[in-house]
Amino acid sequence: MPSVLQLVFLFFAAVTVVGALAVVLVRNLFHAALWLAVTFLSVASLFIVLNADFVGLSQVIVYVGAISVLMLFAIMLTEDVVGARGLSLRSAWPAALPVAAGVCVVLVRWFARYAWLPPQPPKPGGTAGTIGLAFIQKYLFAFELASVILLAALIGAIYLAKEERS
Amino acid sequence: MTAPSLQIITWNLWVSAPVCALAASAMVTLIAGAFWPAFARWLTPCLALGGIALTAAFTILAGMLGLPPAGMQVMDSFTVVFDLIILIAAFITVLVSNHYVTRENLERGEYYALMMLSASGAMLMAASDNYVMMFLGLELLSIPLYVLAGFSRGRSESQESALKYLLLGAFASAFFVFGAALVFSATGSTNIVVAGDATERALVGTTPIYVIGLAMILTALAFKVALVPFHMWTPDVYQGAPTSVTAFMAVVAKAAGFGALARVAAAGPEGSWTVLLWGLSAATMIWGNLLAISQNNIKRLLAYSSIAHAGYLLMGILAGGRAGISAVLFYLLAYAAMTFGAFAAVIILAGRGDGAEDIEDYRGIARRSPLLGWTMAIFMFSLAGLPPFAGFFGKLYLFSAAVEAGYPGLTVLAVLTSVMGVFYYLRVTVVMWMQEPEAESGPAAQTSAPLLSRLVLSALAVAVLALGIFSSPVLRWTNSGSAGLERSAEAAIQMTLPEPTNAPAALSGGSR
Repeated sequence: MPSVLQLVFLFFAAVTVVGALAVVLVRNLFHAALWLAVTFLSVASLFIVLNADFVGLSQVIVYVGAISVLMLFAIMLTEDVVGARGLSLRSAWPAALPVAAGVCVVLVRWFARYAWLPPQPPKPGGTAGTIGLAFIQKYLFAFELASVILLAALIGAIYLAKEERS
Repeated sequence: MTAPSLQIITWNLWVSAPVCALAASAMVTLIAGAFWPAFARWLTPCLALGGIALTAAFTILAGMLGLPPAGMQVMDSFTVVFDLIILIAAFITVLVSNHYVTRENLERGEYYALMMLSASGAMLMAASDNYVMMFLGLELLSIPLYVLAGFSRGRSESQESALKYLLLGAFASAFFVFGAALVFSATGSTNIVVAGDATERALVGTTPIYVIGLAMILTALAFKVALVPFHMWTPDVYQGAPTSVTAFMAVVAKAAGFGALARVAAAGPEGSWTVLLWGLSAATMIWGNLLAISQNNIKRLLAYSSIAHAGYLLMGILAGGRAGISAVLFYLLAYAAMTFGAFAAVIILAGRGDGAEDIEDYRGIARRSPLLGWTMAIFMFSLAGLPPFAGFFGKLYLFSAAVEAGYPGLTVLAVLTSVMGVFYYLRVTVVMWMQEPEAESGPAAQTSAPLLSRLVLSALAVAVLALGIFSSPVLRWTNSGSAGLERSAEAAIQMTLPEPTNAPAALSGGSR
């Protein structure tokens, strides 16, 4: 008999899979973006169920809060895309299905058989504090480096988007 | 955990000094270009050159200090040799770019700043002893490159090239992250050497998850260095991107990928890893050379040629050990000189708006401009691997390393495909020297160029010759690099041995 936590996990896992399938199968682009938000939310729930509260909340803030909304805005602001049809990947079905199914079967088989490392006990008080300290101490350089990457992306975005002055 | 305030101080800043110096110089270049646009034409390239030279000084200095690994990076002699190759390449890119960006009205601070940021990412990739840091390096290398590929905003080919590179590059990055996550979950460490060592000593069950993770990381790196079958983007992106960016991409992005591959290979993965590399190398050499034969556009030809060269370079990674890695480093240096040379000539010949990029446009160019004819011939002979140029000795070292490591079959294949290469490289030379210029056939190739471009072209030709004739001192230098790589891998294993490894160290770093 699975525990309550396992049932919750299975529920969100199912929502994730259904949502991800809907993203690729729905023909309306706007609906696909909404389904993507659903997938992101249920992945965030999975993280929280697995005691990874920091990752789960970042998932909500970054993916649901920023990326999904950005995509919806981009779709709404682009002419002729809302309700556009024919963008689905139907023609790629015959090739994609066996490849995806094959990869799925292989990965599931290996994952099920593998002697995984034992999970660590959950940290009292959540993981955010530990991760935050690691970011500003041991992994300070990596953390700052991520800012440099974002800065490079920002410079590039501004260059590509700004009006040409002649 | 000791007092938190001490943690920052114990982390050794010197290990990161070269990357920090280059990124800071990029910022200075960017700001200078924005504040004094009137002087941007000469100020930004000068600042970029100065920043690169400063970074080289920092690299040499940091290398002499003999630092322990810190902040998920290693400052060993491999890093020093590799960083200097990247910096030389970045330096040449600035010089080669100058004529191109002036002609095509692309002279902005952003151009040099993004290029330097990209180069710092390349340096990080080779300096990292940890998959997390390697990923950050990969992104720092790639994101500026996506923008640079689309830097000619007026040309739709440039935009197309940027979009293709971005979409496929993002896909490759996702592969890298997923692979790193699998490696971590299988071994309990993101440190490249520690993870490899943990599986070798069978401390953590069987290894298939580690192998799958490693294969995914290999896929991402194979995409970056354009190995068959992950090469599809290369011709389109190389053709569409501004030519000076293409040169940078062909040399620095490829070098960065091979630096990372060398680090991963030093962790000693065996079995299916060698089979994968063997297959990738063989497929890349055959397919790259085959497709290059039928190209008429010079940038596409050089793109396929760069794919073929990635196949040769992978042989060195496969051979591994001191000889193999040293040959890879030497070949990267030789490849940088001849590729930059070829692209510098292409930049001049194409003329304003990149009109003349077909090989047929080069008919009889050598008679109008002996300088272009001679230098292009030298670069093509060297790319083809004919003695006494750098390309010949580079191939010689790679092939002999592969034979010694027990891959005679692959070496025979490499020699045969090199012979195929001679055909299409010589064709360029034949068109330039032996065919009559046709009247009114398409846009005429240009031969006039500013003094700086002609100087750079001549200097690169001399470098290709010199690297060939004086190859042994250079090889000694690259040998010191490959020896450093081995020593760091051994040191990393030594550091982990006393610890009980069965408990996964969450967010395990390179330094403990």
